[in-house]
Amino acid sequence: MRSSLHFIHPYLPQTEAQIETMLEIIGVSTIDDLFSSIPEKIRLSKKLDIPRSHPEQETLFRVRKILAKNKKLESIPSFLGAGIYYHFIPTVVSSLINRSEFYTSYTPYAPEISQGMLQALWEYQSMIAELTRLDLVNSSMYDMSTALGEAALMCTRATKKEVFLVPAYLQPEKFQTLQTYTQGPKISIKTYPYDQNRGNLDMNALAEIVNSHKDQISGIYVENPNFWGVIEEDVQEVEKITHNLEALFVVGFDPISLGILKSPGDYGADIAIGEGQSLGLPMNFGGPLLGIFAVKNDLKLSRAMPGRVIGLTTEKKSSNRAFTMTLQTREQHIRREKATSNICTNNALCALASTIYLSLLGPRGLQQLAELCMSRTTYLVEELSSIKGIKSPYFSGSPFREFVFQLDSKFSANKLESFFKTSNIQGGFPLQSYFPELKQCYLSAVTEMTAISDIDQFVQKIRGFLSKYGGS
Amino acid sequence: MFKQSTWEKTLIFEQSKPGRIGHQVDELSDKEKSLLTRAKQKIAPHLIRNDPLGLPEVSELDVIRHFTRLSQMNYGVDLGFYPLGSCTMKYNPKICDLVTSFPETQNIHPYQDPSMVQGLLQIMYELAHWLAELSGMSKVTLQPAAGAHGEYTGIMMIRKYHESKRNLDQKREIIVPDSAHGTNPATATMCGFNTVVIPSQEDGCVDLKALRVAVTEKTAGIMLTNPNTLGMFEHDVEEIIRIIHDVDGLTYYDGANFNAIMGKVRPGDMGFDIVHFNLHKTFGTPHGGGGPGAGPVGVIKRLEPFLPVPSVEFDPETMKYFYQYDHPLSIGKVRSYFGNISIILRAHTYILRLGYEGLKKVSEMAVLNANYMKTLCQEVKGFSVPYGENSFCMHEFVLSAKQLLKDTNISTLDISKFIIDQGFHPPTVYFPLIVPEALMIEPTETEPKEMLDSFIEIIKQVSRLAYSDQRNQILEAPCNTSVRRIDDVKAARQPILSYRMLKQQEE
Repeated sequence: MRSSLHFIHPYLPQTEAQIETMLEIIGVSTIDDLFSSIPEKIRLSKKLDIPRSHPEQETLFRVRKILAKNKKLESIPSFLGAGIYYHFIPTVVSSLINRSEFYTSYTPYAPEISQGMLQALWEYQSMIAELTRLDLVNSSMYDMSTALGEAALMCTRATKKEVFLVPAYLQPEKFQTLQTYTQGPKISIKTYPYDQNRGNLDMNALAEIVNSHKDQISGIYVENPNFWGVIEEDVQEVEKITHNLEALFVVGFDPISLGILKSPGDYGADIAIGEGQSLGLPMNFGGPLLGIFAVKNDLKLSRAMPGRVIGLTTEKKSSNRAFTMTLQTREQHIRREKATSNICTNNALCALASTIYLSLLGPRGLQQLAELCMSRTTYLVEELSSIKGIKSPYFSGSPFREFVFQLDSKFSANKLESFFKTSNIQGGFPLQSYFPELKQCYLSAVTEMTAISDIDQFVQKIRGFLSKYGGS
Repeated sequence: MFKQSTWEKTLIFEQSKPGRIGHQVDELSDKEKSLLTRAKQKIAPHLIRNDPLGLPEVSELDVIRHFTRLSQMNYGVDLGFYPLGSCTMKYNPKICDLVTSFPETQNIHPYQDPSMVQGLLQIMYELAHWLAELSGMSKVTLQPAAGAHGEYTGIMMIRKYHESKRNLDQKREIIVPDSAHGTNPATATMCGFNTVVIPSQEDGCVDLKALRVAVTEKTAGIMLTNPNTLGMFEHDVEEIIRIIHDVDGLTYYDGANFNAIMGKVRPGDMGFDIVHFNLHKTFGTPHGGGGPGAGPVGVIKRLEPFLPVPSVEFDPETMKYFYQYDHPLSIGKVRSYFGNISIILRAHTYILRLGYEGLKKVSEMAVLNANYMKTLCQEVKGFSVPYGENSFCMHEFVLSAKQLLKDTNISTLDISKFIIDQGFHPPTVYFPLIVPEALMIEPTETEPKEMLDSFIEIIKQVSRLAYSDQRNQILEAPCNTSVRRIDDVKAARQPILSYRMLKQQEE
């Protein structure tokens, strides 16, 4: 083990003279003496395949060159959504979250010196409480998929029952994550189907499944808008069924949609989960994201809730406001194997970004944004419907900012997809490989980043393609 | 002298003035308005919002001032020393932030065709390879979002391994030392295992006798942090692993303390089967006030089939990177998409900056700094290092103020408040649980001797004050922060967790 004292680097400030002094005070002659508790036999002797140290300029050059191989969405028309959406991020968001007092801090374990982050996270909880109309919000989870997994675990903790109902038409990765999360505690996931015409939940089918598992159901999950982008019409009926079973009603929501739609709390949700990426976070290839987790104000539920929570209190000796982490007796560092979750590091900085974003937009901005997304989505739905060979919308239910269209079987989906690829268009998320019944179907999203003129161009290209190559 | 900014704690909600906006969203054109009307007519009226959301209405400058002031009431590594044990609060290089700000990272959708994201796939492939090299593992997944999430991924693989051998009914227990992080037992529970806690022996390491008693045919595996949370290298690690392997248990290496051993010893060479890394500790990515981090997980060859899907692979013929979903024994997915890419990219840049030699020196300097502080702190009256007083520590050590409390009634909590007042972040306190009045100190490699000296001086000052008639200076701290001591009991008894709850209470 040759030590590397001769190696000088800007991140390593100890000088050789200082190292000598320190070794002397410790009472050893070499750095390697400090590693003497490592058995000789297992010490590393071979050289590893790790690059040499690159100076900053060279590092930047190398990384930029690698990243240049990516095609960023601002340079190509994209209608990809399916959980991650391309929205505009106001400059203020990045300028504030890049303040290093925030981002180089740790979890606010020492509250007196961390009031800034604590207050910001409390305001995050408050804003999500306003959006969901549920009072208790944790200060973030990793993403919506893990939030759903945690919600399923919480339902079992709170009800002591073990069957969790979810739509059969969940985002595939979300479903897979839920399956992983429910294996340990042996929770049984049952799915309910969708109405093949409207594309929203089939109440009769749901009632049947509920009847066959009656006393075992811990919770029923509804997503609104659902994975097809369709607004669920029967949420109030599901709420009644769920609460008659003494199970928990869990609602997955899209925060932007709340500019137009009622909040989960308005229709009786006990737990609301959401993906906060739309609220001021870049797509970042799908991470980091922001798992939103909100719960009704109920003592039993608050004790079963996962994640960190910030509370407003006062100084000990005055009535001055102060913020601190609270309800910690649910958490792993205190309860260990009896904790409600193992979560420790969460996505606090993403929560801060969304707090800043929501402050900027306010009620009016969020409503306008939701309206813009919905009107432009409607435009794309209608324009595509005018093309022979495309069924748009595939489902008759009302879309919000995402919808399904189908390419007629007379045309080849492979050809359409390679046409998209060669013309650098991201036309939509192909559904058939996950949902075989949706032959040649695509899920497409429209946000404020797509202008009406972009939509016109896209439609024109598809029209041109179908008339030129499409025929079988 | 340290004096934190103290601004009025006005809530952003309290600054709201109806009609004000902080960001302009495009107005709808007439065409868009009529499209919207048509769309809304199709939605059942009972689903449509009929009262405005209670979000604040503030201007752009209001937002800037509010959050800038909040930032001034927060303490990060960029402001000063942060010896928070077990958290590795080292300097977060700025170039690592810069590379995540490019649109070629930010404006990439996870469902873009792999041909459009070759750059990011290359970054992921390279980082996974480097982490495998550093740890002596065969393959690494970058999917987990945090350290505890990595633990979860690892223990789910242990579950799947025993399941694949049709042995899960018998394999019910995960062994965890009493010095372990709380996430270890909490993870075991989430994965459906029972936790068996084993005591530490006098030198702070695993008690082999107790381990042998605890290990049975029910043992599914062990979770071990090495160096452990006391900062001690588990010298019997090979024997520990042999004992677990003898009953077909698997061995999990908690990488929280990986900063101590880079280029010195590898978990794979110790005999571990599964390893997680905290990129936000060892590889210099910022902690973000609590996250996001990233918790990649490496495994040995025979456990590769259990890794989450997809893996990122390279085809030398086409020179292209691609996703591989075909892993029939995989535990599936632990989250959506591929990982926290902005953290992954930072760690990749960090490794390029330091290189192999640099990473080795990182660990050497981290260990040197910790031993230097330990040597001088344990001599201070009232303080001791109960585990490892006469041996060397690795990258951190646990100081105890037990004697000081007994002699002067000054507690570790009081000490931590006094440290804050001097402009430092306090160490981790009251952990690990087996050390009374614990102060867990991890200086990291990025702090110079001068900084360590000034912290040691504060410990000496605490001792002097505590044993003098000026102990009130400690008991009254902190005075230099934006708030003084906080009423935690009130916070828990009458929880006010949102503005909605505050308004309800005021009514």
